[in-house]
Amino acid sequence: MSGCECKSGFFSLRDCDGAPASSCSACGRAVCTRHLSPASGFTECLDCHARAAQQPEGEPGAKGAAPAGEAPLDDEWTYGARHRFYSSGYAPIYAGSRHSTYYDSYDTRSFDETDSGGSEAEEPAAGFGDS
Amino acid sequence: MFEALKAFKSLSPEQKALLETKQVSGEFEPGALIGLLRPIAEYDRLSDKSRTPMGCSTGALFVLSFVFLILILNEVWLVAPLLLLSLGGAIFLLVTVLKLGKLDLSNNFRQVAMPLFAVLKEDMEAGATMNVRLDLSAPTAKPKKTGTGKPYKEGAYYKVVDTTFVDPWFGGGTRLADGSLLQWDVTDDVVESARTKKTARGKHKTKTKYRKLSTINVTIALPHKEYAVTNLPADEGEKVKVRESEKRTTLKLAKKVKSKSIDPIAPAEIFDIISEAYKRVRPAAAAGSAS
Repeated sequence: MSGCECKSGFFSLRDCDGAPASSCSACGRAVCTRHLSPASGFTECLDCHARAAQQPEGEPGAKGAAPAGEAPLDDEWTYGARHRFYSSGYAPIYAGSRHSTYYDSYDTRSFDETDSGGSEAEEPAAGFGDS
Repeated sequence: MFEALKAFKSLSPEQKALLETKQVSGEFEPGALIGLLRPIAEYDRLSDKSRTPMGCSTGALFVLSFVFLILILNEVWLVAPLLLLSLGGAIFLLVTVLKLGKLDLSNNFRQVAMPLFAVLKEDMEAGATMNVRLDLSAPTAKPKKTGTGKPYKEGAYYKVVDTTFVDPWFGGGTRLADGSLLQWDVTDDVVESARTKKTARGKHKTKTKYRKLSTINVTIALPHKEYAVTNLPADEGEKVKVRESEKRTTLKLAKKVKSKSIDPIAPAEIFDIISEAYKRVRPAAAAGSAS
């Protein structure tokens, strides 16, 4: 693995071009400086920090809402909103080539899913395929 | 109060000009746009928070001044400096509240537009720009008024006057990192209903209620190179039109959101309708992926 293992994007995911600067203390992935969470003291990736800090389900303002317009709207907020949005049922499309099982819990739709023909019917919630 | 004034003083001349005109339009890099608007949003948040207590303090100081005045008229000269202080404070607060009120922005700005910019920034290539048209003035600002109905009766209310407003406050377009072309437009139709009734004590009381219909239109042209379209029925309250061209599939989606207040819609309403387009496609054949 040569690049940052985090994925950029909100409605569709793509590979990050950043050079790895560190590894996430939670998931162990190689992470570039942009994808390190300042709120975690730059020890976790934005994805892991967002997952750890997620709001309880059903709480008002979930699904990416800014709490009363007070959010700082930085990358930390965006990745939290992205996690809440995916957790609410949106399965993002992955349009990159560096597959990772990290995003499988979001039922990510990838190119490989369409290659396997009948597998979509067998595994409607398929994530990244192995290639 | 001092926080709001401090936040106002820290704004650049460009940001102060935006606060005055309440209009943002042009081509912006999303990071730069957020950077430009974030201090304005923070000022607006602090201003909203401080105006009510400032209004109460102003009233209290005027009452206190009146009390001191009565004491002075009764020859209690010791309170004269206190009268000057309280009257000066009341006038200062009144001027400040009026100034802050004049510069107040629609909450749509902080609670809907800013989150959308942050989300689109994530879906755009670094350095790419978006076209934005954003009206930060209140949904019930005078220029947005379209008419006033004739007074009518309804239940206990002997006089109800409806005033209608059309607020096409938000629109824009951009090219996303996956090659898709996105355009959006949000228009609020607001009905302000002033309802007057006579209470049991014989007093006439008027209260104002709002009804709002937000129409969100999204057009997204997805490249065939990246996406293949699948058929999906429209969700409740949504309309979907699909048009094919040589290089792209264009989806036009519309959604109406009704509410009984003038409060902003949840930003997730816009995220949802954009995501509806992506739910209708699947990744194109593996030929499109480099590996």
